[in-house]
This record gives sequence, structure tokens and C-alpha cells, in this order.
Amino acid sequence: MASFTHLHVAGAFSAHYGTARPELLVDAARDAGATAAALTDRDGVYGAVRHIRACLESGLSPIVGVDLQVREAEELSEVTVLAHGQDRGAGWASLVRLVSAAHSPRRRGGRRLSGTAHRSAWVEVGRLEGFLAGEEGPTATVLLGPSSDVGRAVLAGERSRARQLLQRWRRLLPGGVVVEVVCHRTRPGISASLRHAADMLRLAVASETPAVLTNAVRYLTPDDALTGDVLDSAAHLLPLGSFRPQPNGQAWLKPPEAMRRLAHEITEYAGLRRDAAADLLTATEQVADRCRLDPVTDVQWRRPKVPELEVIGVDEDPRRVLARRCETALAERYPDAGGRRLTGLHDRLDTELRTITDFGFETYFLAVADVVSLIRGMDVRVQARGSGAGSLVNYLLRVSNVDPVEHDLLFERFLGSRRSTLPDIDIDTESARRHDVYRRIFEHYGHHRVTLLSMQNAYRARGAARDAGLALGLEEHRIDQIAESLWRFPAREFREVLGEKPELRELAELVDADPRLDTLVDLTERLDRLPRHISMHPCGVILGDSGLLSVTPTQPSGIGLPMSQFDKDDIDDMGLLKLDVLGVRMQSTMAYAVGEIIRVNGSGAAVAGGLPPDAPYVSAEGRIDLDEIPQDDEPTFAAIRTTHTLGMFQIESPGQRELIGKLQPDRYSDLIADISLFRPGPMKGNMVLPFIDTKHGYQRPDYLHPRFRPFLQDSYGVVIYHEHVLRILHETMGVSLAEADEIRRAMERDVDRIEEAFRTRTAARRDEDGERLFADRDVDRIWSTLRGFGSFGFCKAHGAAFALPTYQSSWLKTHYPSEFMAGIFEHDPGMYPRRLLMGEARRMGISLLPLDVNASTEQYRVERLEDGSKAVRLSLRDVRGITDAELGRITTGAPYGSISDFHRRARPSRPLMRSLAALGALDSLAAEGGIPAGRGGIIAYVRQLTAAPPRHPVPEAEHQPALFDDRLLIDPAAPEPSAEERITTSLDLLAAETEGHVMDLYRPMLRGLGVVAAEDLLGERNNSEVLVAGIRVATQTPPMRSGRRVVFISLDDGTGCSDATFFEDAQEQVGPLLFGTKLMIIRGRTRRTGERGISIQAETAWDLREVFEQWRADQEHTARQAV
Amino acid sequence: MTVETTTGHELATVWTTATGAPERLLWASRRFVVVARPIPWIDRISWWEHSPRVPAGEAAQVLERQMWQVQVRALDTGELLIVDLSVAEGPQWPITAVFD
Repeated sequence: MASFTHLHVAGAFSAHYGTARPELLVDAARDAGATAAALTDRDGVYGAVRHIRACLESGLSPIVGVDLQVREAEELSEVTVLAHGQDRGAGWASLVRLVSAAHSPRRRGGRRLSGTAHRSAWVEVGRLEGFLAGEEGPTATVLLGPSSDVGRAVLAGERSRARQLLQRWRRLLPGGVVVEVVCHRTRPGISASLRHAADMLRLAVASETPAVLTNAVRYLTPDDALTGDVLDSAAHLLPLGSFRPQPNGQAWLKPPEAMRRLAHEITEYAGLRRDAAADLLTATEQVADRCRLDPVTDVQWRRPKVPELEVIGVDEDPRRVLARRCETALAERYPDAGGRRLTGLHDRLDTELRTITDFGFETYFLAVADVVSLIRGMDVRVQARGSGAGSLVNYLLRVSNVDPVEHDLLFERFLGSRRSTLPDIDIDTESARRHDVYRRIFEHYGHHRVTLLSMQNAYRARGAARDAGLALGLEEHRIDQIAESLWRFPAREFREVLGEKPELRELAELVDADPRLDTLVDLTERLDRLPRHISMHPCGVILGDSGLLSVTPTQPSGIGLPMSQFDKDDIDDMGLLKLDVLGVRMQSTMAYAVGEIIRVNGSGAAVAGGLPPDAPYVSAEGRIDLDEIPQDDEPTFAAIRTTHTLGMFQIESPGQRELIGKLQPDRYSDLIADISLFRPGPMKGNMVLPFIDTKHGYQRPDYLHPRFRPFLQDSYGVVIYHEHVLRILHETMGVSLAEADEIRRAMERDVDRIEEAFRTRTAARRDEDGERLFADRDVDRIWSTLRGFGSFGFCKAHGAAFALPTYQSSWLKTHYPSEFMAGIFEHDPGMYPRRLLMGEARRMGISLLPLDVNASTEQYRVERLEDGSKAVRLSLRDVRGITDAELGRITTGAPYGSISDFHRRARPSRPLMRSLAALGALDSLAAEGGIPAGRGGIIAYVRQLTAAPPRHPVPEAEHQPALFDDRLLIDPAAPEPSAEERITTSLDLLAAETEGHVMDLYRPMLRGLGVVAAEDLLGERNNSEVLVAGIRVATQTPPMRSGRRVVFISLDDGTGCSDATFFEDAQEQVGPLLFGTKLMIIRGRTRRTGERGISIQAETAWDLREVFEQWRADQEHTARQAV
Repeated sequence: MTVETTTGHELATVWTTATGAPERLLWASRRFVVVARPIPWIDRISWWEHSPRVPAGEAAQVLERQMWQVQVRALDTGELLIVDLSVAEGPQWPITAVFD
């Protein structure tokens, strides 16, 4: 059976167009007997790496091209460009550069239509030559299909024009142009109809241009065509039926016989001789042959492409440079080390360096160190994250600030002996400075060596349901209602979960009643996981050599810098070095707090923080070096142990607060353990309980074997970390740590396959006297522990690196509460709404100063009060609707003498002016001799002021004295807004309460019902039935030991947080309220969880507002009866 | 060329060749014969208008319908028409468009 090569195939990464993953397309091609497979995504090579990988696995030659718009005389048409292969990368490079050019951001003018159906990438026809005409002939073949200018002229019956256009293409790119014949059996006379195909073929034959047959494929099977309809709707942002849909569902990957049949039908219809069909098929295979890529020579598959040495400031053998830098740093990092300790450090360093140089990764380590020092040079906080913290080299290069020796972190876990791709070194930096950091990296290494990484965003349940709803033309509110009710499950299981989840009960009933929703469920499942758009990856930066832009196409990202069309799964195979530079809000928070500490305290900073005046990590000006603070600060641990951990990095969630309450950490290694234990693995592996019991002395530590005692100290004998397993395997089996890591990885896949080797080798271990090191009983015990460990553990280096910002933020909250909370408000780093953190500040005794146009700025600033205490002034930035321009005018114009002065000079919009009045931000302008005017009077006055018709612009005179004092115009008798009104206003305009708490409105009822305040919960006995109420601040479905779904809901009632746990029965009870209600009353039983921990096991819950309506009605009823 | 699309789907009784191509039809009590090679083509259906179940993998038939475009001559008047016929199970085929 002769095969057929499909040359024009769009995969799923052609967003809102293709429906099939490249891997599936390649499998189908292979099964159909093809020896090559092409992928031609729209506007890019988004799926190319996956395609090449799949081809390699299937033994097929990959062909890569792009379906691109070209422009001539303002007219857009479409061509397909296929890179030629086996030309040492010339074809690939020209394709890549052409694609980048098509996305170049030079475009301006013209109305940009929204929706991906209006493609924004194109290239001028005249520019193609520059990209595709190589020295030895064309580097790519251009297919002129039904949507090309030639194809359109043919369709319009303009034969001579079609011929001219074709000749022009051939002159432009001699030997690189073919006619693409496509027959989708559409309505006779339209594009891709039999007649159109036949006319195209006739034109090719008459002009002696080679013609190829393709099926312009966009889906794998006929069934996918329907998914294509829904994607078209999403691309047009219009419901089906209100735009011209695809003509039919023929664009699937047809088998060779079907394509051959088409070839014959077309030639027959065209009135050509029978062998014209054979010619068509032969020419198709000839083009395919010319485009077969050799991944190694054409794409430099998996060959690392790192920056040239001189770019990273290395001018001699990088091995020597790396070794020398580490040696020098050793003395700085460990000034007091000597004797055996120093020898140990040197030994470890030698081992690491040997491994690094054996892999040839020294340039990579130097490059990462160079980037980190570049960032540090910008005075931006930077810190390594992940298993890279296990490397002494990283610590010495100041890439990481966690001492791997002190915490017994293992290099082998980071970089074993079998790795073939570059290891990940992840870098955290300040979120607010992230884009500056990126720009600096581009600038420093050159725009031809750097690009951002992209990511493919795929459909999940909500987005899929929305687009399915749009396609079906459902009413917007109905779509909202459905989308809002979907909560974290794969869209493909929509129908299944519909029958299971209690919160979807109402939706399930709707679906039963409305066939349109039944269709929607099917469509939603179809969209699941399809790529929907590409965007900038949150942290990936690709750093390559000067040839980078011949390796990856780029396109503008949201922040203007170019991003690669490849995502994180592509770059290893492309040999590209990725740096993860992640913006972390907590890092910005801490940087901000440090800045406030200097600004507010200056040289008195150390004393103000309760630190010794000569603390070495506080400079004379009051600058704190957070990376140098001692890691054994008892006040910090005491503060953590109270479980008032809101704002502390990673330990503020309800589940973490509970764990902290039980664990009661008092040393840094406890924090590492806490963070490592709060993961699905350790939870499932039941490591928490023995850890806590041993720590608190309820049971004696069990080190399994005396030889394990030294390295199991950090976890009271509980095997938690990958590093523990490595050490155990090293001791028992006598393997190297690198081999131990290989075995550990094998254990994660299939633990029982290791058993025999483990038992034999462990039993064979003997000491110098020839005695067995491990008795049979020991072997049994150790094996059962290892077996139980399975894949549950966590990499300690990860935990140790994660624990650093946790500790640093806790330290700041403990020693500089006002400055730290100002940083929290400023950068909003955590999982909770800002208003909850404001409640926490009040609980801590920090005053929040109200908005005041004369005192508030665009930042949350610490102010010193007259009594010397500190408070935080609210920022104008979070007032609803305020613009940057208004913010700038208000702050530069301050201070203001009166309300009219403010109105005249700051020129706020009318709604903003009214909002500021309602929020009390103008109160100080109307105060007389320290006595504030009434808020009601101010609001009324501002309404008057802003109701006036816009005057002719008055020339602005600085400090023009007010003509009259507007204080006189404020009516002191205007009615004051009630407390309720004030709270509602501030929630509405500021998303936070400045005066009072949202729950204040309900207090009388809550008292009547006997609802317990969050702060009083600890006083309740275990297992007593209580009611709690509040506004929802967090909903989580955290990892649980049982694997069953448990929902945590945290309510804030103004006195603190109460955390309720909903198990399956309670979820069933509560139904749609579970995820859909903001204000709740929960009934349940208290459950004490250690010293400081209490939570509520929920039985049921109500919507607080509904209860309130009922209560109020009852009250009125009672009142009426009483009358 | 004027196009007249029938929305109410007028039916014609169609006689086909051995391979399934239309050969003769009876339409509105008039008899027609096919006078040129019929062109098979595939039309789409606005499936969303009747809210079908379309689970993944089971909807290949929902979107498309088989069509023939034929040139016919009326036996009574000799009038030439081009007609789009939608293939149906029995001999009664809907006429979806007529071009004269």
C-alpha cells in the first residue's frame, strides 16, 4: 500500500482552530503507513517540538511548516510554508525568522478586531524572498492553496490574473513554489470544492508548476469537526449561527486511499489524463522528501545552547573559573571552619565540581550566578528556590542563601549522575520588580540571546463551559450561573461529576430540564485541555547564544518583550537554557517593609525592633539584611506558635494554622518539616502524627538503626525527606548517594522491584571485623519503612529554601509589625483578601489611619503618632475607580486648604470626588480648629459642588487662595450616614472596612442566636456544638490522608478567623452553598487540634443573609404584635 | 444566477443509478431527467439549532449531510435547472436549493 504524506496539518496548538494534539496526529500518520508527518500550525510553530518528539518516537521524519497570512497591496491571503530539511538548519532558521517577522510589533493603525479569528500575524509578500531564498536555492517550499491570492483568483474565475500571480510567486522564489490542491467536497463553486480543486490543478499543469494534494487538515477524525465549530465560535466571539461556519467537516486526517480517490476525482473532473493523479501524488511525496528534517543537524535537537563565555564575564577555562570562585567563597561563607570540618567542605566541593564538569554544566552554573548577581546589583531581593538549594556550589556562588551543609541537603538529589538535560535552578525575586529584572537581563545579554518563555493556557471546566455557552448562544446570566458553579474538576468529567457533587445538584436539575444545557455539557467535555491561547510564562526566561533567534520564533508578550513560541515542555529538547525568575509578592512585601523600617526608624531601627543596638545584620542607617538575620530567634518562633500567622509566608492557610498549632515549631528545621509535611505525599504517608508525638515527647524517637541517628535528628527519627532515603540507601546498600537517588526514583515508580536488591545488598554489608552491619530483623524494619515511604516524601532542599521567606516574614512581623503589615497591604502577597489582614493589624493593636487626601499617598505608609506609636495610613490607590493620573495629581498637589481647593487642583472625576467624600477622605479639609464637620454635610456639599455644570477651564494658579471659605457652605444639620451605611460604603468603594466590620450589621441577630465569636472559640470545650458566622475569606480543598475531598471554609467575623471542615456528609447537606455563598452561618462541633488549635467540624450551614431576612421579618412581626 | 433556497424542504422522488447518483426525479408533479454528470458534495447542518447530544467520539453524523448537485431538464417544458438534493434514506429527497 502506497502511503500518503499530509503536508498541511494544523494541530491543537493552533489555538481556536486545531483540535488534535500533535502526538495523536503523528500516531495516526504512522498507523496509516506514512514515513513522514508534517505539522503546520497557524501563525507559528507552537506544536513543532512535540511533533518532532513524537516523530522521533514513531520513527517518522518530521516536517514542520507554518500556515501564514501574507499581505500585498493591503490584501491578506494565506500560504503554507514548509521548511526544507537536511540543509544544516538553513530551512529551520529561515522558517523561524519568518514567523518572528510575521509577529513583529511594528504594526500600527487600522482597527484591531478582537477574537482570534482575526489573525494579527502576517508578512509582506515582498519580504518572503529575504527569508526563504538561500544561497543554494530556496530554504522552504511555499504552498499556494485555495486561500492564497492565486487560489482566490482561480475561484473568482480570473484565469489570467491567477496565472500572473503564480508567475510572480515563481519569480520571487524560483524552485520553491507549488500549487496546493485541496478538495473538501464543499458546495460546488465555493472554496475547496471539487471544481475549485480541479481548476487549481489545471492551472498548475498549464503553467508547469508542481502541484501537491493536501487536505488542509484541522482535526483528526470526522467527529472532531463539531469541536471545530465550537472553536470557531470562540475565535469569532460570536454564537454559532451568527457568522459563517466551516462549510462541512471534511478537514480531517484522511487515510491514504481516501486521498488517492480524491486525486483521481479531481483529475477526472479537471479533464486531465489519468496519470495526472499519479503525478499529483508523486509531487506531494517529493515535496515531503525535501522537507524531512533531521532533528540533530537541522534543529540541533537537545544540544545545549548556552551563552558564549565572554558574555558571562569568563575569559578562560570555565572549569578553572568556577573552581576558583568557589574556593574563594568558601572562606567567606565559612570563616570559622577549620580542621576536619574544612576538609569535609573541600571534599564536598570537589565532588560537586567534578559532577558539574563531567556534565559540562560549568558554563550553566556561571551563567546562573551571573544573572543572580545582576539582579542583586539592581538592589532587588533574589533567592534560589527548589532542589538547587542542595548544592554547595550554588551556596558559594550566592545563588542560594540556605546552607546545604548545616541542613544536610544533598547535591545528589539536585544533580545525580544520569541527568542529560540542564537542571532547573529557580530564582525568586520581587514581584513588583520582575519586569525590570527581565528588561535588565535582555539589556545585559543582548536581545538576540534572550527571550521570555511562553505558556499554553488550556481550557478548564469554567472557560470551556463559558465558550460552549457562547457557541450555543445561551443568555449571559445563564452562562455565568453555570460557570460560577464549576469548581476544580477536569472538564472532561463534567457529566460524571454532575451526578456526584452535592454543590452541582441544582445545575444537574437544570441540565435535565433544558436540552441546550445537555448539549453544553457535551461541548464542555470536548473542549477540555485544548490550548486556548499562549501567554508569557510567569517566570521563564530563555538565555541562549547569539543564534537563539534562529532556533525559536518569538512574538510580543503582554509586557512588550518578546516571548518564545515554545513552552516549558519544549525547551529541554531544543537544548535551551531556562531560568525561572519568579516574581514573589512576599519578596516585594519584605523589601517594602525593610524600606519602611529605614524611613521610619533610621538609625534607631535595631532598638525599635527590640534587637541589640549592635546587631550585625542592621546597618548604621537602619538597613536590615534579611539574609543575615539569625535563624534561631525565639521571639519569632513564639509568635509563630501562637498560630496568629496571617501574613506569614506559606503558614497562614487554615490547614497550616492547624498544623502549626499542633507542631509548635521552635527551631528552623521544624519550619522545614512543617512546610514539607503540608503536602499531599506526607499527608497520605501519615508522617505528621509520629513527628508531632515524638517532638512533644509522647513517644521516643525511633531511629530504625543507630547508624541513622545522625541524619534523622532533624525530624525526630521520622523519615520525611528524599535526603533521608538517600542516606538510608547509602548506609544499607553501600551505594553512592548518586546511585541512591536513582534507586529512590525507581522506588517512586515501583517500590517492590527494589526489594530483592535491597535485602541482598543490605544483608551483605559487614563492618571491619566482618560482622553484619544489619541483622535480618533490622533489614525487615528498614524495608517496611522505606516501602511505606513510597513516593510520599519531599525534597528537603525544597523545604529548606521555602522555609527561608517563611522565617524572614515571620521575623519581620514579630519585630517590626507596623512596617511589615504596611508591606502586606502594599503588595497583597497572601491568599486572603486585604480586609482580613486589616483585621489582623487591628488585632495586633496597629491603628489603621483613615483615608485623607492630605495624608494618604499611592502607598500604604507607616506614620508615627504623637504618642510615639506607629500606625499605617491607608492608601488612595485602592479607592474604586481611581486612575493613575488622578492619583498623581492628588499626591503632588497635597496639601490642600479646603474641599474646593482640592476639587480645583486635584481635578478628580465626579464619581471619585463623591467616593472620597463618602469614605471620609475629605474630613480633614472641613475640620475647623480640630473639630470635624459632619460627614453628612460634607457629602451633601460635594454633591452640590460636583453637580455644577463643567465650567470653562480656569487658568491654573498655584496656591490660588480660596475666594471664600467653603466650610461655611457645609450644612451642619445634614443627616449623618448610619454605621451600616458607612460600612457598606467602604466595602463597596475600598473593598475593605475602614470603620467597623461587615459583620457589625448582623451582631444583634448573632447575639440572639448565640453565635460564638472566633476569638472565643478556644474557650469552648472539645466536641461542643457551636454556631459560627462570618464573611468567607478562604475556601480550600487541601491534600488529605484519605484521598477523599474535604472542603475547608474560613470565616472572618471581625474578631478573627474560624475554620470549618466539611466532610462528605456535610457537603451533601450544604449543597450549592458550599462554594457559592459569601456570608455564612455554620453549625458544627469543635475539634481541638493541639495546644492552640481549634476548628469546627461542620454539620450544616446557612446563607447568613437569608437567615437575617427571616430574623428581621420575625422581629417586625413580634414588634407589631407587641404594639 | 439566482438562488432560491427552500427552507421548508420540498421533497422530490428520486431514482438513482447503481452507484447512488440521481438519474430522474419527480418534483411538484413534474418529471425531470438529469442531463449532466451529477456532482456529489457535502453540506453542513446547523446542529446547534436542535440541541442534540454530542458526546465526544459519537457525533460524526451530526454535522454533515450528503448532497448532489444535478442539472436537470423538465420533460414537459424543456426548462433547465440546477438543483441541490439532500440524500435521504428512501426515495423522497429534500430539495435544498434551485438555481435557474
